Amino acid sequence: MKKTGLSRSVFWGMVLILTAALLILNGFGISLGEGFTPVRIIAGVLLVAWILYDLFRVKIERIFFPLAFLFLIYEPLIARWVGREGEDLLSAWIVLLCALLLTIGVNLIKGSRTSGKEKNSKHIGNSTLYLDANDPDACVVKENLGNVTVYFVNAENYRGGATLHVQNNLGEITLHVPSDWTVTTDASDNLGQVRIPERDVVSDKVLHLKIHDNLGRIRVLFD
Amino acid sequence: MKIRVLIDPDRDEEVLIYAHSASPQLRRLQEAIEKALSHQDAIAVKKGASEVFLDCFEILFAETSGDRLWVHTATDVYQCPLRLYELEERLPRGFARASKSCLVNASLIFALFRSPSGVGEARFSGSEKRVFISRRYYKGIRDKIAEMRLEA
Repeated sequence: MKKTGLSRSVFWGMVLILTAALLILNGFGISLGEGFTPVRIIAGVLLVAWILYDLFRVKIERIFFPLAFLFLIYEPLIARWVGREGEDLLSAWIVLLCALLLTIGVNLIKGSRTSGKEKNSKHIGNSTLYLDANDPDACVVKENLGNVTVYFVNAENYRGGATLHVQNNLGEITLHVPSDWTVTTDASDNLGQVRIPERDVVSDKVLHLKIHDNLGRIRVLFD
Repeated sequence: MKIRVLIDPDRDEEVLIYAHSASPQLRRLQEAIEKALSHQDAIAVKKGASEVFLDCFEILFAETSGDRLWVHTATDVYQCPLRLYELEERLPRGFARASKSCLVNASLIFALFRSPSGVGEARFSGSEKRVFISRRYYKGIRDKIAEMRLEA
């Protein structure tokens, strides 16, 4: 699924329509099965949609809590299906604790795999980042409240076509881009300022900036 | 002191200075010219796979990021194999600390700004690059600029 506002709206719109359709079917007495109450239907569809949504976005660490809630809501039905009707399969505390541990565990594994040059997150203060132009796709520049200056090294090896994700909250980010590159942007700016000088330079070395700015300031300078 | 350059392909190259007396300024000028002619002020840096011999007077600033030392000119960034303190020892007097991890060429600073929090910023002529100056080193850089202007 593309992470655009349109596809997100379409997805959640379809989920809500599906929920309404299931509730109508249930209201007409067309049973989905014993134990499928309206609350279970609404919660079930929304939680499954939540899980699918995060799976599409490869946010595996976010699926464990909706899975836990789904299990707790449908626990009596699951118990019946496995032939242990009337029993608590698992304590709610155990389920939630497992969800928490799984979330933290997957987060740690993902964090260790995306650390270093692949994810550059700064908070408060002044800092400088040097991004390897051989692989700027692997980088995310995040800034909260501080100032960060970004330079590209090995610029002569850049082939073009990479996307750099820039996320700024109340901070200031200055990107020094080699003068023979062309910059295109996809900017979402909330009460901030994104300044990119207009130029007539046409180059194969195109850098695409995906900018998300909240009350911050982002400047692109061509050296 | 006037500076004249005469282009004459038929004569041997030399630098000749006429002065009224031997002053400290003259001695520094002589040293600077000798250094420049002997390429003592060239620093070996890397850009990709190639090694570049960079004239110190072109360097705007040098700063460490992680375990690497980066040297900036107006338009380029180079990696330097030295440590910051080693580079500091090799650079001429015009360089000063801007922070624990940054050396700045005070002779190329065009403007100094200071925020209410005390953190400074140096801007250079002919480049959009900027350097943050920590509170501790701000006065030192101002003094260095003043000293160099007095000498000039």
